Amino acid sequence: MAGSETEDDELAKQGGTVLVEGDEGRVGITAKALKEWNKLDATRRGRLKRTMKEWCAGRRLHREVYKSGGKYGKTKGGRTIAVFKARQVRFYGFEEHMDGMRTFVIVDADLAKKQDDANPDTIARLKDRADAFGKEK
Amino acid sequence: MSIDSNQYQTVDEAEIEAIEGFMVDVQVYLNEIMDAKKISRAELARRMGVSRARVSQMFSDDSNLTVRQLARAAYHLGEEPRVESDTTRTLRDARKVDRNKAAVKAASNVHSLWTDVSADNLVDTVCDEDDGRIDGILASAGSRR
Repeated sequence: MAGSETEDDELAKQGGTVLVEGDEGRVGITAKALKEWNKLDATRRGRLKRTMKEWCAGRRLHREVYKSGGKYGKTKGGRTIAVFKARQVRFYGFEEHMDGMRTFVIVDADLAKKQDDANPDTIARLKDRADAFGKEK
Repeated sequence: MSIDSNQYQTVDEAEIEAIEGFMVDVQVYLNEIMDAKKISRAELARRMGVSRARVSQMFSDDSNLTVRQLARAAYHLGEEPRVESDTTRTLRDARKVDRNKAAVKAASNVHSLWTDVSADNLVDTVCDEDDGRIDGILASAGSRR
């Protein structure tokens, strides 16, 4: 884990940790979602980390590994939900310009997605978490 | 190439991450080219003579893409892929430095030659302007001797 944030870093102030960094962005994760991340096996972690690395490099990603908006929609606060995907595992979050850089903040995870469509309860919960990010502290 | 983690219980997890990461990289590579060239999966399937489902499978989590299949897909996208890594990049950069050093050594007055060798003198076969100038300097230095 990169964890290169400083005390002045807004992401860190909000309790976020940097997972992956690149020339054109970074992916951060909240403490709750980080607990889920730490449960991942190497196969899924490897796929997700590289997908995030490519996102941080500004590359265009195929729908099997990354999706933004669409059926996930927006939060009440106007944040567009996006998701990193790997083998029935989903890490949900939103993209925002933070600390002078393009930042993806992961706020929720589903490690055992059983159906193609996202669980409505999960979507509702992650939207609440996305809106709560930045307001909790 | 799909790697079941159960196959790798005895190997370092870092190895599994590296393998899976590279598989994603290959998929992103193909996707990026298709997107840039506006080639749909259906069109690639038609060009490759395979089903649309087979092409979609190339982008799935369980993709069983071989190097040969990657080369074939790249060919039908009009690309000539090369494998690159830290060492090959270092070697390539070192060759470029050696070449530039040779140009400096060959030219008695590099700055005036650099100015003289305008874009008109660029060698058609090189795509980088500095490379063209280096070729021009080497050629000029040779002709002035």
